[in-house]
Amino acid sequence: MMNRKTSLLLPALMVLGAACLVLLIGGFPLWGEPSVYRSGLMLGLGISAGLLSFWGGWRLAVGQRARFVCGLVSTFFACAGVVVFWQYGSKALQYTTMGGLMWLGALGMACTAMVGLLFTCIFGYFVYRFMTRRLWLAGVHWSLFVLAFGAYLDYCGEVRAFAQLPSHGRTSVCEVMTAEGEKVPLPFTLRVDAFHASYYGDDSYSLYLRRGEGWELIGHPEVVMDCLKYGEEMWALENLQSAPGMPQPFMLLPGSAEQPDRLLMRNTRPVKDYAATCHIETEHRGRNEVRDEVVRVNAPLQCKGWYIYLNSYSTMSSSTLVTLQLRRAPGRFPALAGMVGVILCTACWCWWRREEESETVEASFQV
Amino acid sequence: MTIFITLLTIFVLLLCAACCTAFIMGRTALGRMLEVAAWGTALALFVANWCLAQALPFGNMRHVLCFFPLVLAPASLYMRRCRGVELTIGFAAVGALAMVGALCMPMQAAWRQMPALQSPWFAPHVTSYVVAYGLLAVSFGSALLSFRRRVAALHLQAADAAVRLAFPFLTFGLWSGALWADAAWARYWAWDIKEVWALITWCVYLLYFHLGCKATVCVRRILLLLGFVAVLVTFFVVNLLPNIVSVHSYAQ
Repeated sequence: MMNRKTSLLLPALMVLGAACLVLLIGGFPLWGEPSVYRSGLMLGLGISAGLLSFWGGWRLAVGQRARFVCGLVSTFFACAGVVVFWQYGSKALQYTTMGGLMWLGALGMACTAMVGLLFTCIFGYFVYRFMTRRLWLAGVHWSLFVLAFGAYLDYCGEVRAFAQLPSHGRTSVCEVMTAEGEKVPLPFTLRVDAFHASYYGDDSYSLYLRRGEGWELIGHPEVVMDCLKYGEEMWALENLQSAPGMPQPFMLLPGSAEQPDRLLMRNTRPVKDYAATCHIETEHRGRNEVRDEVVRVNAPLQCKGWYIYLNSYSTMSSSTLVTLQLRRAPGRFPALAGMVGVILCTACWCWWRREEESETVEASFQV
Repeated sequence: MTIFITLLTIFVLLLCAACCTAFIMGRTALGRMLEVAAWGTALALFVANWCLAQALPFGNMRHVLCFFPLVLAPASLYMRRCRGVELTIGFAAVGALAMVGALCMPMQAAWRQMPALQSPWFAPHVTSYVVAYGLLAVSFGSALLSFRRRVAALHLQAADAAVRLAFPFLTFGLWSGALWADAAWARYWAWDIKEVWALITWCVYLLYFHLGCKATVCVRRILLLLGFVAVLVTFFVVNLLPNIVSVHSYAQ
């Protein structure tokens, strides 16, 4: 006869096995299409896994639920203390390098960082007292539930759209169109005022000669002062021009009866970094609020529940066309919190070493 | 510089192989010395790779493979001192295999770190995966050795200890990648083939933990072997197979 733990383990194993199977179907792109993941099957598996995780965590904490909740709250405050210590500590260090009266600001930041550290120590002690390996395992399950909940919210309510804005600062956007063709108004107006890209290595150029329908590379002109030199010929760098469809600045050198046309073009270089300065106008408590912020690849902007990501760019004749991705994700916070929880609780479950709980706990989580 | 790096790689390989041989012959003290020497040389190799790449050397498969002996020696020490499990021979063997793999990969000069990779998540994400994969390779070796009947329980116990140490690193690698992707690509999960295989690997080890002691020795062995097959597919096959479209293609 099945006991209650075994009866929970069986569906958990079935869901895990089914998840592995479904993942495998799309794991070989030559065999199948990854669209299998977006089907109702995967959604059903995700919901089942989330609910089973919740129930599994609840069962694992049986008899110690108050302790478990206290431990989780203490863990949250201890983690918050770490974040405060890290953020304000780094700002304090940044302020000290500025000199002048900024040291006062640095002092304030350092005090806040110390408060964060104090929080971590106090609540870290509570975590140490409250939590056991078994409860950390329950924490892993609940974190997975929170993650699944966030992912489900995103599945139901996420809005994602792209906006292509020129970098000259004259075009703004106040509504976007999703991939499904739905127009979604934004709670702010967005425009790109400036764009900057840096590249690896120095500029280099190539000279091509027209051969029939194509171009043949014939050499690499050298940069001499503000000119390009190839053999006896020289061209001013300022004469290079941009055009839509041309990846890099170029110069067309018309040919003659003896010589076909030639094309001088700057070589493509690997991108090192790019950033766009965004101008955001919004309303805050009946007043206009204006923000000028820089968006980078790994540093999205946030405004009124929307996230603005820098996706890519393309060169136009007079400016750069910047592609921004705008996203409203109601489940983002729970999903990310769940991920952090899974990481933390798994590490504590696997590595927690308290002398008073050894074999009994070891045996108890092996259902 | 490239010749120097190749020589260092060969030297680490020889030291790891010598460490294995010393342990097999019962010369434990000599084996430990060789292990320390291999770690020191691996550190020099890491620095040399860094100088050549002009960036943190995690830009290609060769860089990552060269990183294995550097992180596996401390893991071996931890297992010996804190968990009481002697797996130095396994760690040295994995280090030697990683060096063989590194020697088979082409050497690239300066590595251009693209904007998406310029994140604070980059180094911990790669490091955690290297530690996890190294430990899981050791657990795979122990699972294979457990087919010898007389010492089956001992080797399975060692494999279990290695998996328990590796699993948090694997978890960190998987979910830190998702956190990073959320900032860089505006979605924490994109069903990319590399992500899918990383999730399959994670799920297989979840199965292993869920079954626990209840499972028979045979089932545990099978799960350990399957888990490592999934690791190999994630780490090598997805990167080396041609015609695979992946957002992780910079790792090729």
